Amino acid sequence: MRQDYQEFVDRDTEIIAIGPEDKETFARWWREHEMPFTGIGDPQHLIADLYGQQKKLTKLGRMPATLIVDKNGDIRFKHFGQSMSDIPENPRLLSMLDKLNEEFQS
Amino acid sequence: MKIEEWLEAPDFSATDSEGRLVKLSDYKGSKNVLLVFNRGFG
Repeated sequence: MRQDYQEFVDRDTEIIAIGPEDKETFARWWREHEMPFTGIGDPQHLIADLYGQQKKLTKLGRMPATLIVDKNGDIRFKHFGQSMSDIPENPRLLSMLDKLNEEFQS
Repeated sequence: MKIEEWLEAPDFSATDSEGRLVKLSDYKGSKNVLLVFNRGFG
């Protein structure tokens, strides 16, 4: 996500990453890694629950989730991972964003 | 490629890592937003 950040910026897209860590831990990590986009520590899972992020029943923790909200404020894509590495590929997300931008302009 | 049926994204506001207030609905009309939920950014 970091490597391709500019590709998202070029498509009028803001990335917001949300993690379960407490605000301080999250912010420290975020700065250490010089993450270029917005990051939010959400220890009470308020946003995660709002969007229905799946909890892993067998272990502590939650599965990754990826959603695209278009310029009208509508959810146009959602992917709830079945494993920790089950995250959509960036090229797929970028081509969806191209399509949504085209649609928004017309 | 599957694009979901339109469904209004629930709004939220929260402070980010830099202490800025982030409100989803502020992006409406100008930006798409990619929301990424993950474990272990920390």
